[in-house]
Amino acid sequence: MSLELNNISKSFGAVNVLSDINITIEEGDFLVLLGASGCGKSTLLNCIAGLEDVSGGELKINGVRVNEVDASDRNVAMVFQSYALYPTMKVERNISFALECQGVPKAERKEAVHRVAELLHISELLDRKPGQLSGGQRQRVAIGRALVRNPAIFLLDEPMSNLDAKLRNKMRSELRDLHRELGATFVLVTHDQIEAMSMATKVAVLDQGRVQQFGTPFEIYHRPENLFVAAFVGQTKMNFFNGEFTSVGDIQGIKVGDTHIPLTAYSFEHEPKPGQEIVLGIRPEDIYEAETITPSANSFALELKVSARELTGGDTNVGFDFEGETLRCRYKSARMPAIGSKQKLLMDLDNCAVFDASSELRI
Amino acid sequence: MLKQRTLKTAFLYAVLFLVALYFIAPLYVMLVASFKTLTEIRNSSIIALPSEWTLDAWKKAWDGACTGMECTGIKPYFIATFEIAVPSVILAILFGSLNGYVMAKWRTKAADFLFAALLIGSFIPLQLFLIPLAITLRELDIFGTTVGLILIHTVYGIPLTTMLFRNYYVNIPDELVKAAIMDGAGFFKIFFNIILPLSPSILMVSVILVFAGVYNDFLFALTFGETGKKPIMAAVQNIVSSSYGVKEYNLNIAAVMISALPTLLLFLVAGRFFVRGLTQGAVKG
Repeated sequence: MSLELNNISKSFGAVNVLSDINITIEEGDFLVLLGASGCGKSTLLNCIAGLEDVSGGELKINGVRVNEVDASDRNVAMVFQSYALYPTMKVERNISFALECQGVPKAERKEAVHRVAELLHISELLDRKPGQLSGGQRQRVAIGRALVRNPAIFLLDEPMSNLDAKLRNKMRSELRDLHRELGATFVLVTHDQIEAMSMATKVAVLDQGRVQQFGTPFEIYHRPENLFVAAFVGQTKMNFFNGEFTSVGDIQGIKVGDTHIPLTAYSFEHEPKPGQEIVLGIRPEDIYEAETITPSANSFALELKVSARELTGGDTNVGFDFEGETLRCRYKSARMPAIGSKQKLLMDLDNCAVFDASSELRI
Repeated sequence: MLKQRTLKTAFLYAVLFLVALYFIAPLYVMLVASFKTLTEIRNSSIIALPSEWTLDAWKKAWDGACTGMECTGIKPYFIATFEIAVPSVILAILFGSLNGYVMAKWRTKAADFLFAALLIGSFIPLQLFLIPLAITLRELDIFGTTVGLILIHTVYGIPLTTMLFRNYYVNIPDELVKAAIMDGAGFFKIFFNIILPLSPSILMVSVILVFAGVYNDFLFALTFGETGKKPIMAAVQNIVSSSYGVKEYNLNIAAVMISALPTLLLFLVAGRFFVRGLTQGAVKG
């Protein structure tokens, strides 16, 4: 079902944890609330769940205002970070507890539990206690507990942060499949951008209790609306270069130190004035070794000295001296350059982002 | 090197042995004396084993010893004590665990204040309460009754149990309660289905502490106890201090031993939980 957050704010005493949250998603969307710890994402999830009251704004599920509705009557289910399985109950009762609270007859409960257990491949675990399960199994049970109620919206609070890397990958695709199978609305909180990128249909990047950007994963990655989002999203941090907006001849561009990088191909939303301080953002993967690609109209050639390198597996992160700053770019590991050597590079300016230096917003 | 260590260990054990002996010796003397006849107590060494083992003193202490005019032994008082202790323990634990649950998991602004107030309450000397309690019991028309004593012990046990349960419940993750709220469980459903099943060790600690407190209570028993149904500590005092004829040491000792038995047994049976529960409830919290 659809979920609508209008101007949601939340404060604990004098501390504003959330302000001006506006997010709307449709039925079947997979919303990821992405942010560093302390950004308010879990509080927002608790507000949607009904475990915390909002201080202002309106919360709608399927078009109906639910601000005053109790958590259990909102038709939402939640998977907690610690899974929060009831330690003294067997898996079967853990899953059926919600139905028990609703007064569903025993036979029906049993049937529902078995249906869910089959879906999640945990049928053989029904007689165990949570303490006898592995991390991955516990997580499945936690999901099963949410699933059994057939909720309109699934809320997941960092459900994969307690799993090891391999299991996390597996659960990620399983969760994605589950979402597709059920066609239900999911809201997932995470600090892991890979989770956000790979699972979401919509991402809201949060910082300091505000939505910094709300959009599809593609938009978030390729059209960051401000410096925070640009810096937060991306495995290797985006390169930022401060400079003045100037023209050389009739070519407009940014002057970083002594280098003038043309921005003629960039479509400004708000064209800067000459002399304005702006920031050029370019992702490491948009800077290539000159030999490996053919230059296009929007590529900019550079020759720089290698200052640092870091092997990450398939790729090597290489740092270059560029006008007193470090320019990061990604090389294939097989072509790892020597430190101090000069390399010819091509910047692909098609995917760059330009921000105003003082407002930090995209221009 | 090795020799030095052996010597050290030997010395350590010697000290431990002596200390243990120091504590066990009086118990031994009492036990032995309770199985002797009165004449033998007077004539033999206090550490000598009885020449003829007899249970007479124990039997008499149980149902024949005199307190004042009545010669019923301590049996009725023993039973009366349980009539007081069992309801008091149950009620104090029921309210204490509910209090602790509310204070730990349904935090309100008042919770910290109330908790502090309860703690202070439990540190005030008992004697201060005597007169207000007497007036209260008189107004409720339960002065000198079993019900009155149950009420007193329940109220007096609640701060202790509240503290124990609160500190224990603080360590139960909040997410567990949140999950149950999402599942649609109410206040009591969460308490009885999720919180209480997690509490066996702290329950045992509470049973031991409250029971021992009620059982060993002398002041309230003496002041508010029902005539003829006084709790055991008051009755034992009466037997031991009654001064008709000769002092029957074997009888007095047997009475004291019987009266000490329940708490001793409780500690032996539940001591394991006690240590575990204490560290879980008190130290971590």
